[in-house]
Amino acid sequence: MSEEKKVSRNPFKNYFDKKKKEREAKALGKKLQEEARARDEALGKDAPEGSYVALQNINKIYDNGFHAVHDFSIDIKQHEFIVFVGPSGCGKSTTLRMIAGLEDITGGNLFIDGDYMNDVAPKDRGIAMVFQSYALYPHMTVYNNLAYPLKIMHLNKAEIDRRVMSAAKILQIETLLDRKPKALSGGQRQRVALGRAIVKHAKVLLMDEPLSNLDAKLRVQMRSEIVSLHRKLNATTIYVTHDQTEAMTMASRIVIMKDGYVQQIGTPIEVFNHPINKFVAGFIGSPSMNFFDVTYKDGKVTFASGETLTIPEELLAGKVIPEHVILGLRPENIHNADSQRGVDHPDANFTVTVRLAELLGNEYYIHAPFGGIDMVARFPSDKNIQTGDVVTVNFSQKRVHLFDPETEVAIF
Amino acid sequence: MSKAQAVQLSNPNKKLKNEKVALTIHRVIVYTVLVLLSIICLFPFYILLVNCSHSSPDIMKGFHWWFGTYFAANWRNLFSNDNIPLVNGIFNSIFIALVNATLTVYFSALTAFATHIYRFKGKKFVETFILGIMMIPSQVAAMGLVMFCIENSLTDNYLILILPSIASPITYFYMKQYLESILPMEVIEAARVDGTSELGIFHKIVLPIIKPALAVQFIFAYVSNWNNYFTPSMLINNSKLKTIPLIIAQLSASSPDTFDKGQIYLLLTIAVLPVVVVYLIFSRAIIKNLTSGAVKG
Repeated sequence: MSEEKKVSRNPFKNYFDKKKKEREAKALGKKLQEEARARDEALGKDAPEGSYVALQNINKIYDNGFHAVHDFSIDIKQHEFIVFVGPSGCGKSTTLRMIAGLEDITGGNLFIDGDYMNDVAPKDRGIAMVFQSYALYPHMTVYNNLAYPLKIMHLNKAEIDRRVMSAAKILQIETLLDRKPKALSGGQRQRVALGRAIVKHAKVLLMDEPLSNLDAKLRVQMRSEIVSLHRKLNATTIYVTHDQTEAMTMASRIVIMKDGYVQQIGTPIEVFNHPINKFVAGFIGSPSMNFFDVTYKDGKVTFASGETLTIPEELLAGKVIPEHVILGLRPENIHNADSQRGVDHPDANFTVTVRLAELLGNEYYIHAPFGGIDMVARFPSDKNIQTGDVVTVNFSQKRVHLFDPETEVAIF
Repeated sequence: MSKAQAVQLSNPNKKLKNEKVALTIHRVIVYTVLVLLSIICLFPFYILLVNCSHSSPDIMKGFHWWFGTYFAANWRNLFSNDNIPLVNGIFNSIFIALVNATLTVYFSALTAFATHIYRFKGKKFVETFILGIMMIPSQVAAMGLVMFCIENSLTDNYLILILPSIASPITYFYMKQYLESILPMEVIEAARVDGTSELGIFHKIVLPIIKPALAVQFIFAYVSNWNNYFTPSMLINNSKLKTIPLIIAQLSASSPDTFDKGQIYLLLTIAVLPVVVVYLIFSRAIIKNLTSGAVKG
């Protein structure tokens, strides 16, 4: 408070301080950029074998010193469907835009189909892109929107017509070809935007949150359509989203990012079952994983509220576990001991009082205080549960994860 | 259920009647004011038309409410007057205004496109500089312009009437605002990915999108060029190159014995007509776009 007052009293000092900060940031940005370029020299410029799109230590540092993407490396094989996922501001869109050529790559190498692409213009990279806001040309009809990239490629009229019609047929927009974008609904616009990307028969299809402007129902529908479109066309696709459900349902591999760093790259089932750290564990899955601060001793953990849970020996084999650890357990691995079958770990039963029971139709999200946190569990809705009820929950011991409290890296 | 219906249900007849009366009174007041304003605006035009159908002595005598019979004579006199290169003047004015308006609009849009889309060194300075020019009245720079033209023998030349007014900060400013409000960066990026060149983006994507703004600014530029007296009066002496405003000035400054008010009024009518026609044709576009530039439509 006092600092704010001091700042507002002297506008000149204020201004010069701001300018000084800007200068410092710029100097830092330049320094970092030079460092990144120096590292590049060591990297060489040989395309890695067996990958269709290759990112090697890609860095993005803005002039103001903001380091948006740190050492992003991935080898993408042909026909793969890669999803970049992460909270907003994690650098996923920036990375995609660097692949598209809409942002400069500060450091690192980009190869598409074996060619070094860092300094190639977007149009010569063999890519097509779908934007979040559709980015249709508002003054052209749907047909012309689809035909435009082909006209630029100087294809003949018959070929253009053939490609546009086939794309329109795949996307079921044949009846809309004479309309202008403003006469289309959101879902239709999105189809046209997809169509404009697929007519080019590009090597790589880039999609930047293409579904986030649609309503929930349409989003689910378009999601499955994009997946089947990918099966049909078999184009290498890179898809950016902040929605972990989209990532899980669509991807052949997921790249999870946070604060410009890649956290984990893996198939949906890998990142779900074997998250590499606490962030990934919490980000993937809905509702997100419960994290308990526990103390570990002799194969057992003790919760803050005093209860103990035995950790299966097969999980512990060969692991060194510190005294204080974070235990993670997904809501679907917490069962209702009173009603559910398959509950066979009687020593993992605990009694809790329901603070809030959210009924979703087929299931309940049960919120209950346990182990020092507001624990969430998913119960089937066959048995009526209300706020204030006392229920017995059962933890699936085999499904627990342990994380190091310092580094947040998964122990298992 | 609308508000009016709700009122009707809860309190039938009486309240509705009161509302109706209030509405009528409100309308009467509003329309009276509007009618008065219209009369104030249109009256000078009416006088202009009335006076061009009277002879000069007639006009000197006093005010006329209704049309006279001298229109044909005024017309004959005006067009047969050898001192007044009227046909040439109309042609000059139309030619200069058209070329000027086209170039002004095109280059302003191009400049606005550049400063809106690209990040380059000194961009802030360029923008501030252009806006700074807007604050300097053209009269201040006129002396320099005249000296420059005389030294380089550029007087009595179409080019000197056209070239300087291409750089129009106000048109640029309007275009910039319009682009900011209406042009998403993603469309430009999509065009880039599709393989359009940068100039291609401007011509094939941006120009069609900002067509309404182009139309509005074209009209403004056309009208201000059509009415421009200041620059031509300093730089044009050759009577073949004179524009309409110069001819009007010449006619009204002539000696008392050749001074013909009927002719002047007729000339003024001729000068006003193209502007009125243009406004009548484009008025809907103008009104629509003065608002649609502000609120994204």
